[in-house]
Amino acid sequence: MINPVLLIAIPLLFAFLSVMFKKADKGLLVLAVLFNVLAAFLLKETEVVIGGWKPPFGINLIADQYSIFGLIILNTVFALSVFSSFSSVKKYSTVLLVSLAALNGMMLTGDLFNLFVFLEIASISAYILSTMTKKFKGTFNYIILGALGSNLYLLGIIILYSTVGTLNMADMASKIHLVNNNVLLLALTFIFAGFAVEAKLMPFNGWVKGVYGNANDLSGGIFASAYATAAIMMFGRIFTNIFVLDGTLKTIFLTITVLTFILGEIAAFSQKNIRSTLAFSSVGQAGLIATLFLSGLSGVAMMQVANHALAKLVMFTIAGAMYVYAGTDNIEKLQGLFKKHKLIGFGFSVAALSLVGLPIFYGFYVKIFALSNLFKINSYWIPALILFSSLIEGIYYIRMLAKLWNPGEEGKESKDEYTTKLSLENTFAYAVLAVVVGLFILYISYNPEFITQGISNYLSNIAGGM
Amino acid sequence: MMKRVIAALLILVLALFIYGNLYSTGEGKLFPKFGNVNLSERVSNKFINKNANGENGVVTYKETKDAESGSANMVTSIVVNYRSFDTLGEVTVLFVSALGVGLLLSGKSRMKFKTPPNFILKAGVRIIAGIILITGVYIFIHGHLTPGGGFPGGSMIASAVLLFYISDDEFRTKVKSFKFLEGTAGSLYLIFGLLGLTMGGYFLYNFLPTGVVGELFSAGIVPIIYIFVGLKVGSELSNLISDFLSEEGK
Repeated sequence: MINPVLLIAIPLLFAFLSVMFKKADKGLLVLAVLFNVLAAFLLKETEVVIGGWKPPFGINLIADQYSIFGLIILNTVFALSVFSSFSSVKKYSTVLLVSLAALNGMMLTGDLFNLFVFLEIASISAYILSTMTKKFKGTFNYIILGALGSNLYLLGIIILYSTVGTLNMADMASKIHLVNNNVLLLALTFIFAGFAVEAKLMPFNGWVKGVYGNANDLSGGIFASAYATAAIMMFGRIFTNIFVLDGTLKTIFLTITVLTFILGEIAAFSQKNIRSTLAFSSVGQAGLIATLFLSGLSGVAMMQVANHALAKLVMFTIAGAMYVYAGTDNIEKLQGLFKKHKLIGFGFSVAALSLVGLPIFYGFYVKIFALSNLFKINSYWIPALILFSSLIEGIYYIRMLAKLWNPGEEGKESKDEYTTKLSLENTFAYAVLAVVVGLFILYISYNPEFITQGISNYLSNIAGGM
Repeated sequence: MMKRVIAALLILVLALFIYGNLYSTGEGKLFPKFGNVNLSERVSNKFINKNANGENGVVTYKETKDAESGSANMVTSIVVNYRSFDTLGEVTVLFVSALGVGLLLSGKSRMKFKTPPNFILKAGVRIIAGIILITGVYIFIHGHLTPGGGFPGGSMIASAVLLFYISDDEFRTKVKSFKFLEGTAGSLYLIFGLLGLTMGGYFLYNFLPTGVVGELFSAGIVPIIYIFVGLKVGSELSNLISDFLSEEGK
């Protein structure tokens, strides 16, 4: 049996070792990534205590179906991203190891302050990873907003701690009903605002375009898949398991998340570069998943997390690679790219169509499931708005795909200067990634139970527990 | 101008929102006033009385033997024993921040100051730096007994290095050896944690005897961990200083 703490301790240990043995840093990165993938798959449902202090007093790690599901996705996409973009790792292997440890810690921890610590480590590693393309303005925005977000979250848990006197999530959940409504409103607003920065929700997502829009193949893949997964899964954990919202606060938060979805998709519609389109699409998807979590549909939200992580991993890695090797990711300039590189095109198209939710792809299954469930809980405007923004999403993705497959207007391949820079050797790893993930998405499109099984186990456990 | 007015208005609204909600009165648990906390219903009560794992009577300085956490300094017993995992995280926060500065700023040559250091500074640093270094080491070795610990002790060591830097134009730390020290201290922290996992079944378990509260050799692995933290923080901050005071070119 694997102790879940090893998922955090091993990458961290290798990070410290990689500072000492500079030459072996990439080997250590590969070892830690492989170990984490293996451990995530072998992990059994368990709860471990750190230092031998029983939960409300010490820190505990919770590996339930929810976090195991998150860990499997997180570690898999992290590994795929690192291996397919291995040439971009360069000096950043220590940072990657630290961020891997922190993201695993975020998924596992059962303590609110410990979550803050891991959130902080993860965001500082993210600041460093975002400097990979030397676009420091975006990074600076991210640092300011990220620091604000972490501090607001900290302030929220300080208020709750001084009122209730505990930091353990389970203990907090059992005591939260004792707290005065106004104090709770203040604390939850701060916690929501803090998480909104990392989860890319509306008023706090000004950094996304600068960071995601300037990412390269490695940082793009890791931000859009691994970081997004961890942040939104933690959002789900906090606002469905610990603080159950109701009344006005729920309406306000739902309004924010739905608005994030709509405005994110509208902003994505007007972008000219692939990466900034994908960046705003990530914002929109975060809004969608947060809406599903807040509406109480954890299962559907988890399915969409899986769909989004896989799709964005392929798309962002390819878009980043285009930027690195072709020097641009402008859609107009890259017209006809996929005609030359059909395998990459296959993966990208499958990912995009699955994210949009076209029939026969996995995303369709998820969206139908989401909409029918939302209609069941007696709300009409949320599913209507989701449908509307999915339409916008569909239009710009299909427009993007049409341009990328279709070389120029009169059938002549006029834009050769950019597309030929992507040679076969450069794109081999990306093609493998695209085909593997593309085929996997197609596989789960026909066997949705493959992913749903874990989720339904989790949900049945919850129902039994309550 | 308009922007500033809006910003000021927003801050005012936020302040009213915070003040109005934080000090509200009514049903349920309220945000306690300063000094009015009821300790008995909080987790910190058990940390103070060292009875998180069961009753063990009153803790007396220099008398109680084998308490569950043998550190006389209450803060240390929370930071390095009850919530040691958070400290591991905080150490990592500093580690990764210093790493980021190193990646962005590290240069080949030493930055020269506009005014060269004068004689008084040079002579003064020779006397003071040694005292600061020793005090820093003292503080992190006695972290489980007196106020202080790994973080302040490490910062004091780094401040001695900073003094060397400003008093000598040619001075450069051996960045490589500091990196090695940093990595060693960090790895040893984790290896001690993993040792606890194999010996006691819990990560970061205090597997050494905790001894008598208040003696230098007490509290099990707490002083050992604090020495690692002190060395790590000291070497990280020293590297940070040398990164900030280096420049590209030449």
